[in-house]
Amino acid sequence: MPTIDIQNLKKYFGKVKAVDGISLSVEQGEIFGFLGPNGAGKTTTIRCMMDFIRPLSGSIEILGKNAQKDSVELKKQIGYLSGYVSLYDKWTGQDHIDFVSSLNGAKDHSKELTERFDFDPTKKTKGLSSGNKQKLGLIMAFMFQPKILILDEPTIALDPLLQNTVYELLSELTNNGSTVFMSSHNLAEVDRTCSRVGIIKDGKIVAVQSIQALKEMRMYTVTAYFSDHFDKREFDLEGIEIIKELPSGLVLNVRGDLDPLIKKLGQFDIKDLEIEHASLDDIFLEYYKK
Amino acid sequence: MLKIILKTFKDKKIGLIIYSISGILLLWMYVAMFPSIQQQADAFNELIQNYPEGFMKTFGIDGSFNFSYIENFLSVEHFSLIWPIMVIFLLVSFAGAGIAGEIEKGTVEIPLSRPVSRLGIFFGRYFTGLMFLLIFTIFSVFAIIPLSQLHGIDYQLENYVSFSIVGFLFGWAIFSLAMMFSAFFSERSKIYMFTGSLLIIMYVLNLIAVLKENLQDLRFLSFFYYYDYKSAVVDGAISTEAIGVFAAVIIFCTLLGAIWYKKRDIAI
Repeated sequence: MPTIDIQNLKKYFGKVKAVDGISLSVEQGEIFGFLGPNGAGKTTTIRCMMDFIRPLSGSIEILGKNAQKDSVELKKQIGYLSGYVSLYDKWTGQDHIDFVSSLNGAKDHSKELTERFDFDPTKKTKGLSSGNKQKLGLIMAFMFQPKILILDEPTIALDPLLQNTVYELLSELTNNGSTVFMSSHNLAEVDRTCSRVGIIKDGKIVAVQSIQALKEMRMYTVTAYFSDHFDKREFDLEGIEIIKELPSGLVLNVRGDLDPLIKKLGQFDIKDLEIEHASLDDIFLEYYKK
Repeated sequence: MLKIILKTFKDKKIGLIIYSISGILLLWMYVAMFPSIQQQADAFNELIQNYPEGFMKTFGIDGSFNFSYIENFLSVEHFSLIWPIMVIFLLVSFAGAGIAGEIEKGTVEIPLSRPVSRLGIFFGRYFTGLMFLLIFTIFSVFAIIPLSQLHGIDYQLENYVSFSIVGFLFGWAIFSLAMMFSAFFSERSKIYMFTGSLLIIMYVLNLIAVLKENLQDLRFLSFFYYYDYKSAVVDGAISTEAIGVFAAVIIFCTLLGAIWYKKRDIAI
């Protein structure tokens, strides 16, 4: 049974179809990256999972329980980080930690996390930098070593050193059987931490793939320099897209088989040719554009 | 819910203390003023009788009005307008900040992401607001005891008990109304606007009903009609009709607000 199971989730705001029938599942111990361009429906999905907003239809099950009906029970086992960490201005970091601790009523690891993040909990949060606010948000999300972590842009505003601390914590938690569902725009972070990703666009899932499978996708960037005159219209072939025109050449994006392009290039005098496997960033961007 | 009550109370206690002290100081001002008024009571009574009828009605003054008693004086000077305005400001601002203000700022995600029900959050704020009202009412009304003794003035304690009940119910009804709006909306300004506008309309309706005999039924639409401070402070009487209306408003607004908050989207 998947730890997180979303089936045909729909959430509309008036005429806007924020989430339009998405389905995905996440297994125990996985770090699942949830990606997509701005406004694709990532945060709406996360808010439905947290029962902040109610789906129009579909179901969300977390640890075998309904995310809406069993919301209170489930939240004992969920650590959550908002994409926009909002704090009580007049409280110190410690006030936040104590409040959250009193609501959960469980043993917490806030002290250890405070040290790991090098966070001063005695200061009022009004004057904190965005990085320090993010640290406090992370401490509140991680402090009960939850079975499920739902994170919306976890490393936003953090320096690379602290980003590493977050990755270490994620790794430690998943090694202990926790499951992580995180949205991110940081593709290097996704590449480094996630085992699988779901890509959402315009409220619909366009792909759910392992990172490895994505990397193995046949996508290439081909740069060809011609000795003679060439007609770019001749490269208007299926699966091939001209990314850039150079003074005596073309940069092409190829999806799938390279053979038709190679054959076409063979009809010209080629001065130089460079073929690169597309990076993960290029692959994601390709999905975003679809 | 208890943790939310305690935390909210702790957060806002300084404001409550300052507000209660302000209420006591205002009462003190009128109590301190009273002995000199009492000495000139006959002249004031005569002056009052010569005021226009509309003015007298507006301020709930009738032929039996007598400045010899502090209850009469306070009912006109303090409990007619100043006290209810203080209660309205206290409770509407509390209700606006408690639910809609948290949604507006995004801080509602902190309790919402924890194992606390939405009803627990709603009633946590609600009961804290009620405690504030109770504390403010006790301090701002029963301060009359030490203040009267300080200035050597006779007072009718049972009348202030009656007023505290009427005042508390009036405040509770306004608070329930404001909490209902706070559960509906996601911006504090809307709570202030809707509750404030509604209360101004009610106040005007009550005034029109007092001044125009053919429109007197409009008074039934106003909280200010049921907030019968004069009967309570001067005669020690509480209208069962007022208790019934305030109780109905409290139950209706509280239930509707709680159900709405439980079911609504909290999009931050």
